[in-house]
Parts: sequence; C-alpha cells; structure tokens
Amino acid sequence: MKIDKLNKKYLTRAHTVLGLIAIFLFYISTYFGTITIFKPYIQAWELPSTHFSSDAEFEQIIDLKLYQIVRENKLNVKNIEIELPSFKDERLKISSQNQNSVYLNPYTKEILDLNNEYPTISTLFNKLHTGANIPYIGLTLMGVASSIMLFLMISGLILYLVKSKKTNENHNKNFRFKWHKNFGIILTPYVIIFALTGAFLGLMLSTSSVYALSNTNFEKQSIRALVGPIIFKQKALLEDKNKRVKPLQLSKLEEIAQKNYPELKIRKINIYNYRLENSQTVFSGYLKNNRALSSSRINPLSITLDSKTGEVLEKKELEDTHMIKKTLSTFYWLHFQTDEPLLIRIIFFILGIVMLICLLFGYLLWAEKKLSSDYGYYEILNRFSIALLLGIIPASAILMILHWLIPFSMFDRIIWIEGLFYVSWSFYLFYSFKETSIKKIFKMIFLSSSILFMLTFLLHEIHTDILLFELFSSNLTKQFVIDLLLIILACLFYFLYKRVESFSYLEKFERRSDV
Amino acid sequence: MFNIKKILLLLFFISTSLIGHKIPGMTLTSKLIDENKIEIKGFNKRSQKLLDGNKIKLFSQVNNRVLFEGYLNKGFLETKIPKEPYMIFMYVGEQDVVIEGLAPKSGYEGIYASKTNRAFKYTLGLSLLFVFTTIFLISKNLLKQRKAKL
Repeated sequence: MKIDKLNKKYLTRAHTVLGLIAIFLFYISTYFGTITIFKPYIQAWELPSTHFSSDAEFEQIIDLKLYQIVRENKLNVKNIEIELPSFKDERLKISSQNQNSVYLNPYTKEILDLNNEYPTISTLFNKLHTGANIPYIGLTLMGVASSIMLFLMISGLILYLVKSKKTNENHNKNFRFKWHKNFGIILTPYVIIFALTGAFLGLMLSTSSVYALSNTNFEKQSIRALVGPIIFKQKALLEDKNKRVKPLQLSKLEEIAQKNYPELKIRKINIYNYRLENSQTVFSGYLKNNRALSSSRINPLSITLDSKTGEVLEKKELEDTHMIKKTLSTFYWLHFQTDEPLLIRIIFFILGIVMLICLLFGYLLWAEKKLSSDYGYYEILNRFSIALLLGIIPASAILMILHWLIPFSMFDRIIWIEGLFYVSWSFYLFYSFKETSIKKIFKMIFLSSSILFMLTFLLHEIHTDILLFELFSSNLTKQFVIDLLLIILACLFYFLYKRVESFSYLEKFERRSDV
Repeated sequence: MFNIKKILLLLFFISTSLIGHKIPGMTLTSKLIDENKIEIKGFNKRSQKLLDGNKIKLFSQVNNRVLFEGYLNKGFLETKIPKEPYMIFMYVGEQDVVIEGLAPKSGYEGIYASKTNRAFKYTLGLSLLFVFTTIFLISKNLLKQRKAKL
C-alpha cells in the first residue's frame, strides 16, 4: 500500500493526538469491562447467599412451595415470574412485576436469607465501565472514546500496511513499538466487536433524544417511549377472574413446552393469573442453535400454554420477531456475551488484557519521545498517568475489601464504598506527586496491590466462614477459583514489587536534577 | 463566533441526552397524618400508578435495626413513627427505593445527628483534599523549576 508522505505524517499525528485524548477514558473502560466479562462469576463470589453446594440433582420446578411463597409474600398473581437457575445466578428467583423477589436454593428448596446483601462489586465495576459514575455526560464521553478508538484502529491499520521507506530508523525499532503494532493487528476483530457496539450503546443511545424530539415536533424526549411499544411489546395482563382452578403441575407444563419447542432453552417462566380460571404459563428463553439473534436479554422467544389444560396457545418463533429486534439482539449479544459460557469469556478476558498492554505501550511511545523536550509539563502528565492507569488496580482492590468490611445492613453502604474508592484513587494521585522517585511510586503501588488482594481473599473467607479448600471440596468452584486468582494476583504483584529495582527502563522517567 | 456556536451545539446535545436519560421509576413519599403517625405511599412517578403489595421496612439510622416490616395495601401503608431517626426502604424488584423518614411533630427524644448525606460529604471532602494537595504540589514544583531556569 502506498500513501503520500505528507498524508502519512498527518495520519501519524492524528493517531497520536486522538490516542492521547481517548487513552485515559478507554483504558478505564477496558479495565473495568475486562473484569465485568466475568460478572456472573463475580456475583456468585460476592453474594454469600449463593454459596451453596451444587452437587445434588434437582428437579427445577417447585410446585409445592410456589403457592406458599406467593401467599406469604403477597405477590401479585397477575404476573408471577420464575427465573430458573443458570450459570448467571444459581439461585431460583420468584418475583412479580415491580414487587418483592424471593430467592430459593434450588436443591433444598429453602428460602435464602439475603440479609440486605447487594452485588456492590459488579454493580460499581459496571458503572465505572460505562462511565455512568460521571453524572450526565459520562455515558456520552465513553461513547466518544470508543468512536475515537475505531478511528485509531483504522489509522493504525493503514500505518501498519504502509511500508516505511526508511527501514533502518533506530528509534522506532524498540520493543514497545513492535508490540504496540503487533498487538494492534491481533486486536482488530476485538476492537471492532467491542468498540463498535460500545460506541453504539454509549453514543447513539445517549443522544437518541435528539432524534426523538425532531420526529415528534418536540413533544417526546425518550426514544424508548416511542419505539418501545413496537419493538418491546409486552404481553398484556389477562382480565380478572374470580373462579379458582388448580393448574397442571409446572413440571408437566414444562415437559409439554419442551416437547413443542425443543430448540428453546428455557430461562424464565411467567405465570399469568396464577391459579385462576384463565391462567396462562409462558416459557421463554433463547434458541440453543442461535444465541445471537435470540439473546434472552433483548429478543427472548417463548411458548405460551394454558395452565389448566396444557394446550399450546402461542408459539413465538425467530421469524416472527421484528428485524430491528434481531439486530439489537446481535449488538447486545456481541457486547455483553449474553448466555455465553466460560470459554468465550476467558478468550475475551485475555484479549482485554492484551488491549490494556497495547494502550500502555502506545502511551509510552509518546512519553519516551517527549522526554527530551520541555520537561516540567510532561512530567506532570507522566505522573498523572501512573496514578490513573496503575493506581486503579489497588483502588479497585480497596473497593472489593470494603464490600466485605462494611456491614451489609448499613443503609448508605454503597455510597461509602464508591466514595472511599475515589478517596483511595485520589490518594494514589497525591502519592505519585508527593514521592520524587518514580521507582518508589511503582514499588508502593505494586506492594499495596499485593497486600490488598491478599486481604480481599482473607476477608471473603472470614466473612463467609469457609476456607479455601473447603470451598473446593464443597463444590463451590466459582468462589474457589476467584479466591485462588486473588492469591495468584497478590503473588504476581509482590513479584513485580521485587523486580522494580532491576527495571532500568523506568530510570529514563525519573525527575532530573539539572532542570 | 464560530467557537461559541460550536460550544452551544455541544451543550444542546449534552442537555438533550440529559433529559432523555431520566427514566422515571418508582418512588416513595411519606407524610404526617397524626402526632406520631405517618402514611407511606409508593407509586410510579410517570404514570402515578399506585404500587401494591410491596414490602416496606423501617430501619434505624442509629444501629440499622429493623424497626417495622409491612406491605403496601393498594399503594398506602400507615404506621407509627419510631422513637429514633429511621430510613424507609421499599422493595421494587432489583432496585430498592430508600428515603429518610419524617420526624414526629415534637421531635425525637434525645439528640441524634442526621446521617443522610454523611457518607457523600465525608468521601467527597477527602478526595477533594487529596486532589487539591496534588494541585498544590504541582504548582509548587512548577514554580521551583521556573525559578531554577531564571
């Protein structure tokens, strides 16, 4: 591929400048996004009520208990929702719209005592990932950053393909430049998937009100209110009936549903007018052979049965759903990996880490070049980057520690946790400017991360009162693996802490006495 | 002039997305109906539709004890005011609604400090302290460097 020399220069410049603008936001988004890929598993780890052994066989349906639960919790019989246990949440959830939820252990059928527990870690990580922590403009900002990322990917690709005439340039031949380029190429599909869908979610959805306003003569602001009734049409509630009728057993109904719709993987059961004359039962979920188009989050497919006779009333198939819904479903599936099992998540997790390293190398390439010019300003930016890009690791460990330290019963718990997370993050900012030696800052960050990850692991064990190998022997695999990972992380950071001294590369960035 | 136009356009986009993103959800209000009785009302903010059957809990602000538990009946629930500051929780699916409870007309017996915005104030104060100290350190350094150059 050939390109004008001047154009190439401009392209390189644009790549650098836009990269510098986007790197901080996109790094944070990637960091927390990479962790939230494992959201279902983190939730299992952070909620003590999900710590039950799962080795017993279970029949999923809980007929006998259902009636009792509905009565005791005053659930609205118009629409009772049963969420079946899956890898996302091993508990069985019974709720009615806008009302209380009851969680059951699906193996023993006992009602779980939640004690005000709340998935703080995954909620806050997700919030930081989307930028929702910055009020009003956060989501849009993240969307802009993802759009810039797409430009960086395309311009990087062009620059990679352009053959450099001066092949013996020395300063461009270093390790970081080589791997920034190579990682960039490897990551192209990854960036297309996540930055494209992320830009759509962040930028288009958050500015959609402009289109809504212009199409309704400034009457409606929310595009969701306009298109929702068409795309996400909800099943209307059934009319009231007084006559009570005993329905068929749920397990029997499920059998009929599965027989009539064998490709459907049932995730949810909705019972309308429970135990009344005209009761209907809806089984919904995703298609086993087409998870992308029918993801259970956006485009669930369903089969409706008469609860009394088991007769099939309605069968919603993929062909019946709206085109836009299918597209949206694909977008959401690509970004959230809905219903996908562990293997794909691990692959994307590794790619996420590669992405972080690629971004870091990109920043370092720029920072190295600027070392020889006006020093004061660039030093500020370097230290700021250390605090932001590396300080985020111990700060997120502190968030996890606080989740276990602050009692679940405290009403303003989540504000404390989020607030103290920012306090610790700004402390690292403060420390990286207070400490003169860059090496010492690195040492402090690595050592504190190591200690904090170890503490996170210990606090989890103490709080739930199960020790590491007991977790393993009682089949709590998810919790065991996460605890093990925390120990490994702690060791890794301790190792890095020991190695900082011999890392001569950092000396370039030290504050010089001659200026 | 061009720049001002640009900025205005940007502000317009930001403000519209701001309006578009307020999703009115479920809310909770309480009002005094007697010396020491309150009426709690739960409803959908947009459609003003009353909630029914949702669980309500009163928590003590002093030690997070559960003071009272009950269910909304056709949107309303009457209860006695506890003897200490409290919060009202309403359970709505995944997102719970929480507000600070009203004090009785004659006030509480004993002195209690309000804890409503405490967490926010303390953590914001601490983070700002660190950020401002950092800015102070930066400017000090810059001044030193400039002096050295001169």
